[in-house]
Amino acid sequence: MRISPAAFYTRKSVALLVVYVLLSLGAMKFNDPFALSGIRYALLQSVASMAKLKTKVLLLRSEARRMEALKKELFRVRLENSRLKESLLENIRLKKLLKLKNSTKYSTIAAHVIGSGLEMGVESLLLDVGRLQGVHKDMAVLCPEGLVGRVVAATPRQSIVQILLDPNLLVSARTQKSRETGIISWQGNPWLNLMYIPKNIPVAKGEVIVTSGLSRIYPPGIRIGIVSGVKKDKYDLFQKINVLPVVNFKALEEVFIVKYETSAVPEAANAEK
Amino acid sequence: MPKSSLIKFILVFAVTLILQITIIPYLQIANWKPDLLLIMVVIFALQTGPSGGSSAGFFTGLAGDLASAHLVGLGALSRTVSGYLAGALKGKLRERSQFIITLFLAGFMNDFIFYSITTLGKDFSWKLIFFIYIIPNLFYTVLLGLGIYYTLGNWLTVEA
Repeated sequence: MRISPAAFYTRKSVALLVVYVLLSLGAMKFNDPFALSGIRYALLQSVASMAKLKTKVLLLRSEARRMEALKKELFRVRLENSRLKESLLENIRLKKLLKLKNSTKYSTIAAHVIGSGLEMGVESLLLDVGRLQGVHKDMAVLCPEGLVGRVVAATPRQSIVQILLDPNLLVSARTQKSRETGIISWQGNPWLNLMYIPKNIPVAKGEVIVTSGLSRIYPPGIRIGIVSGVKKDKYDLFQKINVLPVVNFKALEEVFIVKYETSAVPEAANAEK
Repeated sequence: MPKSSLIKFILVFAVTLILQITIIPYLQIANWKPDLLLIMVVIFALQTGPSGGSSAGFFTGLAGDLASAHLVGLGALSRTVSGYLAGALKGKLRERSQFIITLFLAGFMNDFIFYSITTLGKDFSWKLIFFIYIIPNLFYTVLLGLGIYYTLGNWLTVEA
């Protein structure tokens, strides 16, 4: 039987489609395959170079404006500096009185955001620091406002961060007042959801939600968001709590990666992933 | 396909991927950000057919996966199928509306597969996914796609 050129062409393209689909499914099964780490490194290096170029261009343009602003700022800072020196001395005296220790439990690595992933919204960020700077998978990422997410992959010089607005990221969280523990997740809304808080626990609008500390990844007490709504259904065991994130993920430029070590319950860390 | 066209498109896809990661986030409005990579895959697929479309979709999708936090292979799968679909529609529609309709259908297929898998087993509302994410984002992508198609369309051709 002879196959016509059109039929052969169709069969070939269908066969190719099947091969690609199988390869994609294989890649999903062996997520983050080592064989692709070289390609990932080359890709992120190109992204980093592009980001550097973009920063240089933006810097040149804003340099003149910045100089003017800096002159004014310098004057204001000098005045403020003298006032702060007084405050510092006062602080030292008070610390001695209270016998407080400057106890930082974890070290931080500063990083710049150089891009975002291909998802529709912002579900992942690319950072300009990697393994050479001490970044590894499963390190927490913070900004001054609160929790951003966690590192999911690191090349020698760049890393990829999964942020809270990713349906696959679950974080163990706690209500700041009642200290009840639940799980924070994102379900596509402009807010996050705090799950598994029983109905008898009072949670009020405006209450702050923080990381619970029952984790190997996230340090305790890091702000996640503020309760914006609480709903109690008659037939549900748990409340439906909406939490507005404190971090504006679209405006992130600098973040901190936290190296946090604890002897926390391993089950809690596993449950988060 | 001649080697020169292949090399040109490999470079185009590489540059597009880097632009998608570094520059396109600045064009984001609310949750919507145009998919430059998909536009290029559709332009390529409409000239080369299903084999070219699925190949372009697979390799660009896989490269995109390596620069994102989601499952590696997920973007490759969704873009392979949407690239194949775009290629299969080659010559099946009226020339004037071919690009817009194909881009819309391929984009819909891409987002549908991506969200079906990424939200598997989660309490996600499809109404929300369609009307808040997929549909507005598709219109944004089509709008940018039209701009690119009518300005760079002549240059982005595969030589016979």
